[in-house]
Amino acid sequence: MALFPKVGRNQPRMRAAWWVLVIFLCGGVALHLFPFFYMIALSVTPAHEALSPTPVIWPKEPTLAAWRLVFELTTRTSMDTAVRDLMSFPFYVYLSNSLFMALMTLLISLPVTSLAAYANSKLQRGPMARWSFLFFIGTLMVPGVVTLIPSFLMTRNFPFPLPSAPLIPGTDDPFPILRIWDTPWAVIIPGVFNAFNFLLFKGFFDTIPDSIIQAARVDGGSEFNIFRRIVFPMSIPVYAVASWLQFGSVWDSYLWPLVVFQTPDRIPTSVAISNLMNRFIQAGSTSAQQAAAQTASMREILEAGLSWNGLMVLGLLQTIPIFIMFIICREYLMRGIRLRGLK
Amino acid sequence: MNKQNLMSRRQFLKTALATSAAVLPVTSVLASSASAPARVQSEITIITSGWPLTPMPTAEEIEADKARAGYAEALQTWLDENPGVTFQQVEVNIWDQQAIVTAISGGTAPTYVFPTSIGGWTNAGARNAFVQGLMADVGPAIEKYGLIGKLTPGALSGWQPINEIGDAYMSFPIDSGMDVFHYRRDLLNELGIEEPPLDWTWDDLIALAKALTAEGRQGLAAPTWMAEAILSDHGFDILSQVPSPQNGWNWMRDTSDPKWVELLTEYRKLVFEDKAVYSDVSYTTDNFTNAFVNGAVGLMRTNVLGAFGSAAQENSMAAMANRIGKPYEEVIGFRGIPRGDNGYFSNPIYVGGVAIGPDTNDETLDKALGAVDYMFLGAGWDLQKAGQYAATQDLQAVFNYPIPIDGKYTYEGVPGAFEDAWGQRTKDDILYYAGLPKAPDEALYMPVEQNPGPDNQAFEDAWSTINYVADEVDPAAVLKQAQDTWNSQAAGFSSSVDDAAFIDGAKTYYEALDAFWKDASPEFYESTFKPWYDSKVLPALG
Amino acid sequence: MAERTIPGGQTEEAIQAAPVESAPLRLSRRSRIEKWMFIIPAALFQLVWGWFPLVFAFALSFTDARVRGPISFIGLQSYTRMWGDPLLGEAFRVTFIYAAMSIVLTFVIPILVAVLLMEMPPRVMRWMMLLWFLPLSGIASTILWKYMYNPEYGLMQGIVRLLGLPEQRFLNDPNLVLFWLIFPGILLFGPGLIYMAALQGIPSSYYEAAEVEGAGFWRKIWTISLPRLRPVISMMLTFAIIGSLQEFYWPQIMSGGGPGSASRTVVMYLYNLWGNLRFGDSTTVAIFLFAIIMVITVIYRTFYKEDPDA
Repeated sequence: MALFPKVGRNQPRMRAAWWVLVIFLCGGVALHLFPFFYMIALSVTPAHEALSPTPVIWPKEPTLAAWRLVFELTTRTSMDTAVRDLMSFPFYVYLSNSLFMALMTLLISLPVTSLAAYANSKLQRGPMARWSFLFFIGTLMVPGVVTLIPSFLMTRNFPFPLPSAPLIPGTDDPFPILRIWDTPWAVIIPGVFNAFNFLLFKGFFDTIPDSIIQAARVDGGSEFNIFRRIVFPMSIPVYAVASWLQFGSVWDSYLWPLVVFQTPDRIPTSVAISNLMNRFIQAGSTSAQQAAAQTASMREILEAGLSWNGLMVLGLLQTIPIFIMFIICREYLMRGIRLRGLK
Repeated sequence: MNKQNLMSRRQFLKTALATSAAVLPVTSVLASSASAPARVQSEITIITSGWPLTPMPTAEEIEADKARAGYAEALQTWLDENPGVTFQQVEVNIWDQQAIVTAISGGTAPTYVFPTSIGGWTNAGARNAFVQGLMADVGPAIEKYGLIGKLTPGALSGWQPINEIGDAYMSFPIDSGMDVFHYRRDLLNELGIEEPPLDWTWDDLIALAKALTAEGRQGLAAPTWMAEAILSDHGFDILSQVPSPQNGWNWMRDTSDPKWVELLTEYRKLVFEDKAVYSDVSYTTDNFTNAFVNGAVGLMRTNVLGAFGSAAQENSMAAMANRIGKPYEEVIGFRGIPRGDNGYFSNPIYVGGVAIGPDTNDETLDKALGAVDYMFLGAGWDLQKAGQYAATQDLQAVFNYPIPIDGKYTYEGVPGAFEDAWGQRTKDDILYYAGLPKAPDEALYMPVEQNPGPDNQAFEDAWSTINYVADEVDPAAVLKQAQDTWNSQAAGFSSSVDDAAFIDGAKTYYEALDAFWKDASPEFYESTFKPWYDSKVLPALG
Repeated sequence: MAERTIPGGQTEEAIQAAPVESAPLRLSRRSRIEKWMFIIPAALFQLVWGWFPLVFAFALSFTDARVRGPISFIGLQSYTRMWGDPLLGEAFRVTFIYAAMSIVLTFVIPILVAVLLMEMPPRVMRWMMLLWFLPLSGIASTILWKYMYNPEYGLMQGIVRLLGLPEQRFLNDPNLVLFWLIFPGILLFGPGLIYMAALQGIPSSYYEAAEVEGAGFWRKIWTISLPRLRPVISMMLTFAIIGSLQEFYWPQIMSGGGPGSASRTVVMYLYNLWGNLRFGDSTTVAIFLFAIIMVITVIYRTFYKEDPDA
């Protein structure tokens, strides 16, 4: 409520401008509601209508079949073998795996990442600050697939990115290794430092005037106390944003949990769901050969009756926890606004 | 763990902390025990991701789902004959290339893997992966279970060139399919169009596509590679590739024959002038299937494997026939790959198989494939099918393998046969196409290539441009560019095969081709193959 | 955004209170130890799980990297091969155009929307945010946009016809396919949450002071909101540069890189190479890309001064 002048807010011109703004924002909201509505519509569209060449806005014969199928799939109450084979455990097993991984990652990652960002923003200066900045974000500059195999091998034989531990020179014994593969820690530990959150935090801490920190320093607080008493309370909104983003990214991550888990009841929801979805969204085949091979891989899914409508329901199921997390984080994100409202 | 989501946030955090404290020491214990591989046991454990075989269903599961009973009975019979073998289910996505290749790198791949997904969904890629050691040699099992004698000649001709690599074998076949053009027989009747003959040509296809085009319906559904299909159905794959032993990579591409430009121009006319082609850069296979079952296209190239879904599957062709209210074979007809107007033809039979992870020991490999042999090609198959029929009474669901690799179209314990589910005409047509002779494949003649080579991206780009770009496009230039790009990429590779061995292999291969075409299609031989062979290949091989 | 001093200096008074600003940072011994304690855990994780696998992977670019069996060094073969690959050059060209276009066309939107959204009363804001972040399945938007872009019956073609413009081929048009891939990002604008978080740190007294000065709506955005957001914008821009140069997923599922090679980005090409089991070659491409992004980032960070008080 800062851009519109306090004085003269009731002038017709101001009021008109205000309403233009409201309409603009509502327009944006409406544009977002349309895909959401569309997703719901697709979820009740019979499979043969779903990709019909004339776009579907609302199906001619709406059906709840997909919702029923997904319900049976996730509770494992279906009578159909093909459906039961698509998921080996009831959904809550996957859900609790995901929750544990995502919350644990947040719990460890947020303090580690934000303190480093704070130090980089406020305690380091000159070339040292520049180099450690590049050190922290440099790994973002390489597509994940490049390090997929070495990182995977490290979860098997930490700290060696090799298929098996090398022998200690001069003996027949291999080096001792730590194996986190096939445990939730294989997802949590590599995710502890999050370069994207580092950018978020660093950007935010940079906006805090150095003068505030200097003043506290003069008062003789330790750096950690300055951070805890002064910087952290100011930064609650950015922690809210970072928590939500990281929760979402751990929750949705697919390829990494796919390769580091092997015991069927340890996988997260993203893997359980995306294993089904990804076979549908593979972009068109580039040769007849490829099409033939893919037909073989699609067969079991189609036989279970899962189709686009079911994918919409699964997609919704996958994103609801992220949305709940958003609602929680939103309150913290808006904390500053509430405080300012009190003034 | 299952109650966690019901706890309050504070409780949850507490639990999380406690768990983390507890799990850390556990993982280090795991780590010390993990260095001894758990798989070395006197018992044999077959590790499966659920395909092609699942572990033994529990009594509860069978109770809940009667269709399981047949499977359980079959598997139990096999397990009784093979004491000490157990199946273990793991969660590895063998259809995801990145996941399975990564698992193989760390030695955690399941026993059963799918060869084509490991190789990036091409046969050449799968062979390359096999040569790199990403799959085990299944040769001993092929021999032990007498597989070659069980396959029909057609299945053998589709399987062998891809899977026999040097003295080794890549995969154990379990099912097969074939590329065909499906069309709406009822529409043809309605419009009074005559059905194309079994040995139809591309000219017939183009005429049919035009005839089926009407308001709200396009004649032909075409993925990106349809532009390639018109060429390869005229022999492009053979004729555009020339041996060049003097180069580091022993092959070159040569697309200078004006015939190709002519064909591409004709195809573009069909797309952009006649507007008879349903095609868009964003479409995937599902779009085509859906367009077809919705009546928006009249003709579609698919693999027959995907076409024999039971009417119980909502999106299947059988379900469409039900919606129209006619028997399957009155609604759906199909023709194989059309012949070229130069007399070229092909038998594009595709045989899918199961490969074995490279860390599997000999004994496990033997038992794993023994189980597959019993369950797919032995008595276990009939038991499964009988159980499935007893539970569903759905003949279409039971007979969903249109081209059985062992030629069996009836199953013991199932009253009825393939033709009862899909129609006699359907079966006869399949048998006609599956029985076409197959040209010699270079893979069976050339020495095994150890090194990766240039991929087909340059040509895929060309097909995409031909197919989608509406503005003025000069097919000759596009083709020339693809050829030049490919050749310049090839210059960066070197072959593991030395020149003398290459020339020997190439000579026997081309001699076999020469003999085949002289006999199989004198028209193609005289008009195209012979002049090309004399002018391009023989000089190159010296 | 190159403006470094803020016109109407008196609004700055509030933060000029402690004028030790530009003095070099001198930390006490204890603070120096604390600084390292802040950095070391993150640095360790980044070193072990970030850089170590990366360097290990990079080393593979000098080998005939295979998943199994012996690996032999082949020197710079992968480098010469990929350097001479015409398709890679084309992919880099596409990537640069895509990145430039997407930053120019979409980067400002979340900033602006966040600034404007802050004008709403908290209750309205809460509702708008709720609706803006309703969970969406990625596949739904893919299908939706494929429909929208269909050249025959898509909604977009309908709008084009309505406006009397020449018919478009959308994703099938090699010259415009990149624009159409970016377009949904423009249309489905939303607020950047990180900007909303940062905007809350601006004391309302700044705006009041500016108002006394007679500053209007846009001027207040330009002289107060944006400068205070500058560090956050800088970080987000860093990320946008890195991210857009690695774009992969959206073009892959929308156009598959076509028509021809018109929307095939470097990372897409790299994935294809990986898919063909050419690990050494795909790592080499990653190194090219890494070098380019690093250089761009360093140059940009050198010229962009983010300190709002400098």
